[in-house]
Order: sequence, then C-alpha cells, then structure tokens
Amino acid sequence: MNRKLKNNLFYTSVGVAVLVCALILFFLFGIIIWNGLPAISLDFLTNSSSDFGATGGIVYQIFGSILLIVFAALICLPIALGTAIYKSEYLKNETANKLINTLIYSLNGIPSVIFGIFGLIFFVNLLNMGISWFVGSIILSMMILPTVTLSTYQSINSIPTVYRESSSALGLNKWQVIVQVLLPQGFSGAITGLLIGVARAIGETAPIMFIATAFSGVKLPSSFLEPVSTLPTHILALAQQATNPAALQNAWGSSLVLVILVIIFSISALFIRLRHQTISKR
Amino acid sequence: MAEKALKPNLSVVGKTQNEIIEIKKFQVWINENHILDNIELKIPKNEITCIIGPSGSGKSTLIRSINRINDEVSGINTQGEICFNGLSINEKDVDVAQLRSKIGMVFQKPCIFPKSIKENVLFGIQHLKKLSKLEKLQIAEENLKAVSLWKEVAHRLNDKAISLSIGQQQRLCIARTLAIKPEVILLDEPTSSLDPVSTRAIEDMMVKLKEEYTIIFVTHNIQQAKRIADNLVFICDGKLIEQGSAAKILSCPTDPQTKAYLRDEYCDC
Amino acid sequence: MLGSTSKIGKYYVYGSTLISAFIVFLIFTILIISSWDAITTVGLDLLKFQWNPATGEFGIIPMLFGTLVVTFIALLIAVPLGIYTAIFTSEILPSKYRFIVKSLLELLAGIPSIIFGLIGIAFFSIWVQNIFDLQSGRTIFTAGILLSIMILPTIITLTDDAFHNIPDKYRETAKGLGLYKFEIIKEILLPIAKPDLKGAILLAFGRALGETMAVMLVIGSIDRIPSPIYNWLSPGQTITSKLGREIAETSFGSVHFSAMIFMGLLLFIIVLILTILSQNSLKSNRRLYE
Repeated sequence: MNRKLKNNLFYTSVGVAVLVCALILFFLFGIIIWNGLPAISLDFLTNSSSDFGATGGIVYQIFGSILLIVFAALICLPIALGTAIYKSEYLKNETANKLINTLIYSLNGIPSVIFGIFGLIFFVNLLNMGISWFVGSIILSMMILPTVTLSTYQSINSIPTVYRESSSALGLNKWQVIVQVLLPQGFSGAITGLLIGVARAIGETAPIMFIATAFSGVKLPSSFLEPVSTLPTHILALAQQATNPAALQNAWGSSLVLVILVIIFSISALFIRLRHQTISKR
Repeated sequence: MAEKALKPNLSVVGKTQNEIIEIKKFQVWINENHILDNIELKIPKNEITCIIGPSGSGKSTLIRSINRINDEVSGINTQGEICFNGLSINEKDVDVAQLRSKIGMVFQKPCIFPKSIKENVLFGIQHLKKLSKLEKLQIAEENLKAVSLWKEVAHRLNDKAISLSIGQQQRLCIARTLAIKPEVILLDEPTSSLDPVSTRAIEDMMVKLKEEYTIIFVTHNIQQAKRIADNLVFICDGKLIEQGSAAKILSCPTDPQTKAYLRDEYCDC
Repeated sequence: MLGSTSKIGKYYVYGSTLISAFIVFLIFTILIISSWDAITTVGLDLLKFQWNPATGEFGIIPMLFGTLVVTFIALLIAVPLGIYTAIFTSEILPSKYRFIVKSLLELLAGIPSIIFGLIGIAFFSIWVQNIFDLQSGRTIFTAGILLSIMILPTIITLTDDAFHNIPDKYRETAKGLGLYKFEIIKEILLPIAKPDLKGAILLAFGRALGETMAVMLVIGSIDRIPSPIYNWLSPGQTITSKLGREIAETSFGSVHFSAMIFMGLLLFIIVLILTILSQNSLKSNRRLYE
C-alpha cells in the first residue's frame, strides 16, 4: 500500500505543478489583455505619441518596429540560404560540419545585450555610423541568422537523395540542381525560420536600445542613418515612468499590440510548417 | 480498502476452478475501427492457450486487453468484461499495477532497460517486496536458470544487458516476468524476431513452465502452435472463429475459415 | 556560361557560410579588444567588491554575485516546476491535447522580455514590497521570481520533448511488470531522459544569465553585495542590468567603458560554454538509445 500512497502523492505534486503553471499562464495573458484592451483605440493606433509617450498614440513605434524587422529579414535571408545550402550540399567533412554547428548554436546562445554592446562598439563607434535604425536591422539579422539557417537547412536536407540523383542524371549540373530542385523546398523552410526569428526579434529591446532607437520625438526616418522609435523601447521608456497612470496605460496598450504582432508571426510560421508537413508526408 | 483484492473469491471458486480467465462479450474500438467484435473466451488454468490468426486480426489487442495495457492507447473504447479469477478487471477501482503483477507480459521485441543483467531480472520484483542482497542473488539465479540463461551469464551478471544477443534478451525478458511470480503470462509473438534455435529454446521452456503458470501465447506461426498449444483460439478480422483443444482443431477444424487458414490458403476474412 | 553561374553560386554559398561563421569570432574579438584597456590597467582589481568609477574602482564581484544569485533562484523554482509539468504533458495528458499545450508554451515563450519587465514593475515588485514589508519591492528575489517564469517554457518544452522521444516499449514493459506510473517515471524514464534534461537545464541556465530587460527593471540596480550575504530581499545588480543601465551613458574609450565591456566578455564566455555543453548533452542521447 505504501507504493500506492507514493504514487498518489506523486500525482498530487504533478497536479500542483500543473496548476501553478496554468495560473501563471492565465495571469500573464489575463493582465496583458485586461490592461491592454482599454488603452487601444483607433486613435491610439494611428496617432503619434506626445508628452514622452504618456499621451497620444504609437503609430511611429509600430512603423519603426516593422521597419527594423523587415530589413533584418532581408539582410538575413540570403546569408542564411547560402549557409544552409553549403551545409547541406557542399560540406562533407564531419569535423567541419560539427564546427559550423557549434558556431551556429553559439551565435544563437549569445545574450541579446551582448549584441547590443557589440553593435555599439563596432557599428556606432568604430564604423562611425551613429545611432541608426539600419544598424539595428543588421544586429537583429545576426540574432535571427541561426534560426533561419537551421530551419532552411532542415527542409533542404530532408529532400531525398533520389531527387538530386535523378536530376543530375538528366544532365543538370550541381548549381542547377540546387536552384531548380532544392531551393523551392528550402525556401519554405527559410520563410518559416524567418517568421519564427522575426517573432522573436520584434520583441527584443536590449540589442537595439543603445544603437537604433531614440525614446521620443522621432517620426519617419528620411535616411538609413537615423534613429527610429520602436514598440519595445517605447514600453521601456513608459515603464520607467510607472508612477504616471497615463504612461502606464499606454505601456499596457503598446504591450498588447506587441504581443499581438508576435502571435501573428508565430501563428503564420506554424501554419506554413503544418502545410509543409502534410505535403511532404504525401 | 476501497479497491478490490484480486484474489479468488470463495463463493465463485468452485465455478471457475479450471478457468482462470473468462472473457465475456468483449468489444474494442480504436477511433472508428471495430478491432474486436463480441469475443467470448475461457482460458483454462495451467495450460498453454495459443491465439492464432492472420496479422491485423486483433490478436494483439485481445491479449493486451487482458492486463489492461491497452488502457492508454489513444481513441480506445471497450465494452464487455474480462474476469480474472472470477472478478472483473474492467472495474474502475481495480489497481492496474497490482493486476499486472498477477498477469505478466512479454512483448514481441525484447525490451531491455539500460541497466545490468541482474538489475533487469530484479526490476519488477524489487518493487513488490523488499529484498536482501542474498535473496536478490537467489531470485536472479533461480529465474535465469528457469529460462536456461544462467550458464551463459552467471559470470557477468553486472554487465549491461544490452550486450546480450536478441535471443538472450528475450529470455531475459521472460526471466524478468517469471521473477514477479504472476499467475498468468501473456506472450505477444515473443519469437517473431528470433532465430530458430532461440525460438525452440523458448518453446521448450513454455512447455515446462505450464506446470506453474497459465500461458497465453499469441503467434501467427501455425507450426509453432502445433508444437506447444494445448488449446487453440482462432481469430480473424476481430471475430473469434473457433476455439477448443489444439488436437481437435488441428485435426478436424469445423469452420471453413479455420480450415483454409490452417492449410495456409487464402482466408477470406 | 553554365559553368560560370555554377561558379558564382559556389562563391555565394562559400561567402555566406564564411560570414555566418565569422560573426561569433568578430563579436568575441571586438569584446576582447574593447576590454583590453581594463584588463591591463585595472587588472586583478577587477575582482574587487567596490564599483565606483569616480574613484577608479572597478570591482565586478557585486554584479557577478547578483547574476549568479538571480539565476540560482530562477532555476530553483523553474526546474522542479517545469519537470513536473512536463511529466504531466508528456505522460499523463492524452496526446491529442499535446498540440494545444505546445502552442500555449510557444505563446508564453514568445512574450517579449520587456513585457515581463512591465509586469514585474506593476505587480511582482509591489507584491514583494507588501508581503515582506520592504521599502522597495525591487530586489534580487523579485528578479529571480520573474526570471523563473521566463525560463519555465524552455524547461517544460525541452523536458516534454525528452520524455516524448523515449519509445513506448519501455513504458509498456515496465507496466507489464506491475509498476506504478511514478516508479516507471523515476526508474526508467528519468534515467533515459537525463542527458536531455541536463541539456535543457543548461540551456535555461544560459538564457537566465543573459536575460536583461526584465531583470534590469525589477532588481533595483545597486552595485553591492547585500549584507548579510543571504539577504536576497535587498536590491542588487546583475551584469546584464548594469550593462543595460550604464553603457549608453559611459563615454566610449574610457576605462569605465572598457571595464563594462569586460563584464560583457565574461558573460559571453560563460554563456558560450553553457551553450556548447547543452548542445553536446542534447545530442548524445540519440546515439545511446536507438
């Protein structure tokens, strides 16, 4: 009977843990929605901010965030695609493969604030580019590079060798095989990776707050070398005036908008992945 | 205690003396598929009952229902009942772990835990009772002898069990089941991945073991059934076609489907 | 013509790979060069307990201490909670709900850290302040709690995968021997999943060390080791919160700046080691069992 008792005790502790996790989940989403919804209105989404963000809307912050990730994705895509093709089609040496894997995983593990100070030293000061949104895009593209590369690699690598061999047998050279047979498939992997990466990048604050953003008074940039304002840095600025209820209200509103953007990207990634899976199963 | 003790109930003992397991109107669905249809079956004590039938006919599902290892298959739905020693095992308050220590099971492919040979033999029993060091050794020796593995492994009991050959692994699995001293042993095509020599060793072992245990043996190999079975059950497409003593069914099957199957012909079921 | 496109293509993939591989080295080199000034001029004094740029004291121990304690609290809470929850999602919950659980975890993991910071400021620090009757709720303890929630999805999802990858035959065989579920989990599943669990914990460890925004907003940002040392209900500082708060206000090229970068370098190296270790243990499992 002792064993049975232990088993029940075990079930109870598992139950408690699950309950705690479920409560945390509901608490987090609850307060983000509960506090965020009242702040959101058409005016909030279409007006520019004033009063250091305590009043007005967040249209330029939304624009800034989108601008950063779009360019990050554009910079990242060709490099990730090239690396994935190399890893899958050219690299035959086991040691070199391990080394590249280690480097990719290392890049993925680097804390975001390190990217921030690296950008500050290298781009802003050494290359003297100043605080600009384009530097922010470059840094974010580095951050999402491992995700996109691995996702692309997996989809290219999952193509059966038969395809490569039969197209080679038809007289296609290696590069033609890559472009005509492997790339179409690899592309969907790349898009999935990009969406996952972008979902993460759009919420990042630490890597861009020293190098790409200004906290107030920023409108549309007219060149590559100007700062923008983004949702996460806007929330940071507002969070530091947490004693002002109006600022806090806008912080929650911006948070909800940011979370919704993240969810849109994650769900699109999920759908592409699912659709892709059903195709390759057939 | 709220749960039912799985011991013979005195009032019904007389009736079920020879039938340790009784399956009544048993049906199984997995999702939309009707896997087993209205199975009625009595399994006599201390004999070898072979369940034969083409693959996909539901043999495995039936045997796996007897110790309720099917419980967690997703989408499964059962009806009817299975009685063990006169008591239904399908009641909600039955302690399945206790049930399974009375009805042991050996699977198609040997499954060795990543532990030593000795630890593998003792794996089940040491949860049922506390054992001294000496008892552990005795139990390991006794059961490894019962499956005639002792000579081969006596000198390396502490080696990783994964180093044994597949045939040896399967015998180790049987030893592990014997160690918990069940009343019934279920074997689900235990020799299908083994070579002929190991298969013969296991068959001979079964014949010896029926003195002490009731054995239910699923196989798709008719020759094997001929060699060891006391009773035969023929299942086809989820239905129980024929059951009875092995001698009778093998010599003159009454059902045309059984006849066809035994002659190794196409069986329309 | 055909040959030349093939050649350009080859240069392109070689070039991309070189760039990808080069980034880690570039970051590492830049961090070393920038912190060299501090290493040579301050030297071993970097390992002192006082940080005061005005008097030229650059002891990083308070920040290192804060980082380790915050991470320790986070792991202490998140590891047991995460493993128990993963046992539920992989071993008890019917697998048809798995997709929902995985999606919810993904959502939780997707909440940006700045929003955790906002929640920390608006709720957690106030709760801590009221419960323990403190002057301010921005403490090492608060940061640890917040961080534990942030690494929870990582631990749950990786542990769930680890359990899920164990073939069912082990469970069935153990069940066939009359074992209870907790015995199966404790004696069969946990030992088999151990390398993966180790990898998951190391990965979460690395994430927790590098987390910046949320920690920065709730830790209180005071560069000293609490006294007594176990009084974690007092404000502190981590390497990341220090960098986040101060680097933009430090003039480039000064010893102060260089000392800050040295902390970044230290963090970079620790996290790199953890990442590589976790990758090794996440992979080794597959080779051992099937």
